[in-house]
Amino acid sequence: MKTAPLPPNEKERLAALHALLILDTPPEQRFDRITEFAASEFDAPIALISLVDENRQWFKSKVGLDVCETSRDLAFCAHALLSSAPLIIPDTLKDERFADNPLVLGPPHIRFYTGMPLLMSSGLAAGTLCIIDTKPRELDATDLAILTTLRDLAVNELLERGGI
Amino acid sequence: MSMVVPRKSILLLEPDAMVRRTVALTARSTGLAEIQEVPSLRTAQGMLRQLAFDGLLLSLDEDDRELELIERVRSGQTPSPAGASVAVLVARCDQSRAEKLRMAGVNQVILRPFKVKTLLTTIHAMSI
Repeated sequence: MKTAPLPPNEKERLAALHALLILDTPPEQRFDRITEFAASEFDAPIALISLVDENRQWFKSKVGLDVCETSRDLAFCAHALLSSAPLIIPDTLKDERFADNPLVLGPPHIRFYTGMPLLMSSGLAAGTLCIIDTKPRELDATDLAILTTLRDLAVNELLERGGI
Repeated sequence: MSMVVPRKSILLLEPDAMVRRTVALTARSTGLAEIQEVPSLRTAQGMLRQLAFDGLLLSLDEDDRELELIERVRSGQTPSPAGASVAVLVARCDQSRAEKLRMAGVNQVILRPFKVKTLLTTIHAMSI
């Protein structure tokens, strides 16, 4: 397993994330609507709005997971922060970064992951909107366009609150 | 010299705001069509009076009140072409309702629950 390197602007990214004042706040329907919609649209058992903090990823909204956070070392979303493009893993077992990740080998048995970076107005990524499946999958251009729209809606909600 | 082909304009009547916004924003970002999205029959009536649409995507309630919109279009009472494509979104559709919709000039029936992707495919077909 390869732990994601820190983004070059990690200090600024964390400052911008913390300025949103959203970490460890209660669930909110405005975010849950988006993850529930994503799970339904893509028939995905798991959909998350994940915010990547210094040592953890914390879920502002989650469908299909009981935990509210995981270690950053294990987080797929920590890899997705490294680019403004979506991170698409059609089959985790065929990707050396993730093949022996405990979240792949054990619950929730991630085989497919796509994370769309939640880019703040500074261009820094707070986290991702992601969909996860327990079987390998592919997304076509229309799927990605829909997921991009849902990501944009999530970013709008994040910025409405924090204004960053 | 290249010619710019104007995007087709589609009227979407759908009460669910998440569906409306996701369809409209995705259609716009992909260059598929310009979507005028409205939540109610009344707003749709106003839009149809003022603007011309190449296609209509209409959510129907149980008593099919929205069919009056199609009647207006088909009879040339709106700026839209009388032959504009019309798809309807319905929760159920038995044989008698299907016949009623066909007689009203509906070209396609989409059953709930549907995927946004299905609506985008329909819009694509309307935009060709």
